[in-house]
Amino acid sequence: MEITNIRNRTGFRNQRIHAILEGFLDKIERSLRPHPEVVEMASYAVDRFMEIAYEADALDTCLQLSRISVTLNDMVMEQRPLADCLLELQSFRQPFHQAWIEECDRFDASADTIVDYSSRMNPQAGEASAAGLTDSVSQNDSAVPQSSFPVTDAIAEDSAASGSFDYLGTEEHPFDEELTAIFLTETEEQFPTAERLILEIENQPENANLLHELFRVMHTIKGNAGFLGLRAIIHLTHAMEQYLDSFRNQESEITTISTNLMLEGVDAQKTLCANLCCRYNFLTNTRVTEAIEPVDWEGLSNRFIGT
Amino acid sequence: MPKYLEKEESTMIRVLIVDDSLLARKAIERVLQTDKEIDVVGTAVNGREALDKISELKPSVITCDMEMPVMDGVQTLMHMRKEFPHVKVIVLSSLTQPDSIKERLCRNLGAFVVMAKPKMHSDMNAAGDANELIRNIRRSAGTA
Repeated sequence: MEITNIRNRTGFRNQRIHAILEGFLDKIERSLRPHPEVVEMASYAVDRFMEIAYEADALDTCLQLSRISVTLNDMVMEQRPLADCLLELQSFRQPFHQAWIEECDRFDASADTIVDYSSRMNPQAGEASAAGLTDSVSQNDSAVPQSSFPVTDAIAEDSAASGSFDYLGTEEHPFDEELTAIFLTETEEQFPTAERLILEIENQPENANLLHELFRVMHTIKGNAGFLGLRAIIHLTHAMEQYLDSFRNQESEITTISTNLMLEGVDAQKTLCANLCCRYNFLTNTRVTEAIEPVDWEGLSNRFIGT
Repeated sequence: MPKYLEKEESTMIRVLIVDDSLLARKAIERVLQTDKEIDVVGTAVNGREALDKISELKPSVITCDMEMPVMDGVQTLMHMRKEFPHVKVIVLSSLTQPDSIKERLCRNLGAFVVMAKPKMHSDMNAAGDANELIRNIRRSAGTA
């Protein structure tokens, strides 16, 4: 049977999504009360994977996946007792894994079946990783690939929520690794400076220079975020700038409440950057080390503007 | 692209990018690279470095950030007026209010145009911002 090219709109590698899915299922299995977001992401990953498997005629895998999908949906909708769902999920894991391994042998034949998103950016990298991939397929007979809490296509949903339009990239504006990497490096450098300045301001609230310096740091962060359209970071940083401005014009006095709020703001900025880093690692296929942590950037921004 | 197909360097518009942020320099370079007639001849991290490099790199137009350490946009303009009046300066501002005092000052000091920094993400404005920057560069070089 001819295996045709598997093209997937977000360009995930088959093995990667398998690893991701297994990671989620592991996490769910290990918890007494799995986090609803994890269950939803797992459900997403299953649907994604089913599309791929279906296109590749891996029908047995599809069947196993559909059973898992139903169970996960029941968990999301809370249709049945959680304990039942968890038990059922556990029983489905091995058959799914088995089916996938067997049908993988058929994929092994041609590297064409695996689309490497990064190869669109860097043709040499694409070949190297496709070659590396066929090795990992044969090694994965016994071990379920381990991955720390990774993220999936649900990132797209999260992106919309956290405010970066199309940050996964589109045909005309593909995801830009270089600019994202530069952004992360430059911005992460600013955070210790910002924190130091905030603490110094707490000790010397009358020092206008410190305030000005802090404002400049925020302005730099906002400017950088502007290049990549990271709406959450832009919005939050702008709110923080306005907050600082109100002190510059001496409309209000700086207290420990103010400096604490600023520190909270910087923390939120750090988390938003960490989330971005997570997506960057995922999309560039490097090891994902952190989970995406939701940030209520709108609420926090309102606290800055409201005061 | 093979050498014989590349546009001759003498007809290309030479641009120097001045900004203290690496991201900004890269992003602007990306935008300008899409135009075959624009040649990014160099970058500088502040006005001082830009002035030092101009005699060597001979740009016909520079893009300049407003806020930079050592020598900011306004000071750079003042020096440019004295030392290199024939080089056009396009001031790129990240300020949100369109007509602040600083921007009017820049125009009075002889900036060719003051415009917002181009966005690189894909939303409705991205292509518009990029095109506007390129258009301004071409206008400044007289090849609109």
